[in-house]
Amino acid sequence: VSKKKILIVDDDADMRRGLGARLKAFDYEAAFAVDGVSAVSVALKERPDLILLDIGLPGGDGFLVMQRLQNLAPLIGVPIIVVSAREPSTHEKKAIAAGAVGYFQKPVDIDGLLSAIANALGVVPQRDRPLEVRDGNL
Amino acid sequence: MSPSTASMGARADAFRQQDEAVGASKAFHRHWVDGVGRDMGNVIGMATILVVDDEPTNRKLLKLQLGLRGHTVLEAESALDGLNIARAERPDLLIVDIQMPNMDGYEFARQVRSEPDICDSVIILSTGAYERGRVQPLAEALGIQFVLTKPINSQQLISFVEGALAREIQPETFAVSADFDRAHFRLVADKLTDTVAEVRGLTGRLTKLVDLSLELDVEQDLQRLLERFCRAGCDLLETEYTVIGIAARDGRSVESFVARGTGCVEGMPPPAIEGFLEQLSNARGPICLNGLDAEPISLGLPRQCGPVRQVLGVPIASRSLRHGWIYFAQKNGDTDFTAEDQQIARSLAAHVARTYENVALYVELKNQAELLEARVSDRTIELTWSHEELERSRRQQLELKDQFLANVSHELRAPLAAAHLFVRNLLDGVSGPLNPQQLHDLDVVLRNVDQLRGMIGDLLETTRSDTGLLKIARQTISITVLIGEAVASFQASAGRIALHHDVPQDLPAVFADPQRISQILNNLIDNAIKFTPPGGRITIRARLLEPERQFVCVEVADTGRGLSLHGKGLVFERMYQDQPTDDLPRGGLGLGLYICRLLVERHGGRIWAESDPGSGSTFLFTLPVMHAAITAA
Repeated sequence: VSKKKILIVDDDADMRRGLGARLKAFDYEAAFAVDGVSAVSVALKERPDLILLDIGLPGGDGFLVMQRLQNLAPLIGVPIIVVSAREPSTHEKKAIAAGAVGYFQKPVDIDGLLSAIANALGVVPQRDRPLEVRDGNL
Repeated sequence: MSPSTASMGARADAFRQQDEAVGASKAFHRHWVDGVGRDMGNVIGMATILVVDDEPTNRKLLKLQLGLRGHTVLEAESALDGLNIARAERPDLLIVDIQMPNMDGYEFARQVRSEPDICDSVIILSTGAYERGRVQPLAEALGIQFVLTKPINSQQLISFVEGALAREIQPETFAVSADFDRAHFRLVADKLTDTVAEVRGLTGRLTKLVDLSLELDVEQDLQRLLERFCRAGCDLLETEYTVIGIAARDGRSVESFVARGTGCVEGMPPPAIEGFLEQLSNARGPICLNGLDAEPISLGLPRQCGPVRQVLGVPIASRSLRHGWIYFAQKNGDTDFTAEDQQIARSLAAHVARTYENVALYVELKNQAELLEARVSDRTIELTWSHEELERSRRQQLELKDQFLANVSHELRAPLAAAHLFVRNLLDGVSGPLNPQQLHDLDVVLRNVDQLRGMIGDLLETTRSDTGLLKIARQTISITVLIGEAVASFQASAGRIALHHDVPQDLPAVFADPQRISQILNNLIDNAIKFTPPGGRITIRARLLEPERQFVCVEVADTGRGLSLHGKGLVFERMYQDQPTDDLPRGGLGLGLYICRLLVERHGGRIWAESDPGSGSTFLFTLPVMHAAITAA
């Protein structure tokens, strides 16, 4: 059984590295992209099973990137989870409406994110209701 | 004595006196004629003459002429006066004007003839030359031989008067002939007929004037109005032309000029204000010129009109303002303008003035109203523009603020997110195993990172509320479900604190933003956990407020240290923190409960705290139930 591959699209190198390490520890394979353009090319090359997308990318509307990824033929049906520092009050609904399966605000509730990833990969592609979104709390 | 016997006695007395008087009169005549009268030129102061005339000028003239001659002249301004004076003074001669109001000269003479005391008075009737033919038969019927025709020069007067004085009077002539009454009646009747005709003519003209005024009262166009007046002018004054000029404000030029008449007068330039027009411009009343030979151009009339022979002009003026003038030229039949024409012209001019003022006022008011309307409309458009502009810039500003806050939020959270992630990775052994001391230290780091994250959230939320960017998206929600979710999410972090909820299942739905209500619940529960020692208890309840059933009340009760009396009132204030103690973790910015208050109030509810120091505290808030919210909206 091959490992599930997750594409992490984030302009913050620390975030990419931290999330990558975490996912690898949980037996996922990680791929990385730093912006919208590389996200498309990397996604086409790596064919990820799931994408963690930061919609606050520099030089572009994250939602546009999301739409482009969704429209790539080889990526049809690949779940996208949005990870963003932006307020859920203003962006979560929009992200879900655009087809994301989850929305996590940074700093990420890592346990919640991991369970959302597991869910998304198990029950592909979509859920009726957004995932339980809760900031990580102690 | 009865009145009748008195009058009988008086009459008998009067007859006796009459006889005496006749005798005296005869004696006087004889004396006058025989004695002094032979040499007429030398008679001085011999006769007393009564002049009866309503015209003071006539009386003065006669008095002067006869007085110089040496006669005593008495004056009476009416026939009745004359009778009284005649009775009292018994003058030798009466000079009586025929045309007098009330009682005319004939009636006067008839009365004189009927009174025995004075019936033999010598009477001279005075009349205008044109009446002479009519007067003669009546005079004869009254036994009067002397009819004086005016005008008469002094010499003629003297010889006529003294001739009359010298004439022997025949007593039978004192009797009034029966013909007189018939003739006099006929005369009076003729006069009456004339007057009736005159009145009828005048009434006709007045009726026209009234009709005109009625017609013109509804006309508001100045030019048409003036034209109508001109046509009416020709009709009323019986002239070929009527001209109206309205002067400019400076009074030196003609602003509106209308001429109408039998010949074509349209398109004539207005005449210069000089000569007759200048005179008219300054006149107070009508100026009437008959028997002229004036150049028509000077009156604004075309040359084809021929020389103007009669012109009657009246200024158009109100009490204080002069507007112009109206004049009538070329009387029909080449006759002169009469006094009555002047009266008609005067009232027509007054009417033009009044109407002109009305129209001018109307036009001014109409212009004002239109101007005002235009101004209001302009201003409305301007205001709408500036209002839209303002609204646009307000929206722009809000968008900018929102954008700014989003950026700040993003920038503050990004580094925190990385720190948080790496601490979690370390804690979870992603980078290899750690010893207990290292794990404990990392817990401290994580707690502080989380606190910082919470503060950033609160700060942004408060700023958003201050700038009007706090968004509430209401929908129908079940408070029961939200409480259940909130309690479940805190179970793990509650540790040794018992977390309960007690919510009836039949609670009505509320109209609220579910995310915001969760935020409030999380804040209150988080707060309760913070202040409740291990082994304590936190209970969340909800109930419908009776009897109004308008609000659902949610309460979060803990068994913590409770609030100070001071703190109870201030705990929802911005940045308030109740007395910190060493055994409690460092608080945040003191914005959590403040944000709760903002959110509850935005939902139309109320939030408060109940507490007894030492025995825990309860935080309560209300939310409007569905039907109440709809009614309120």
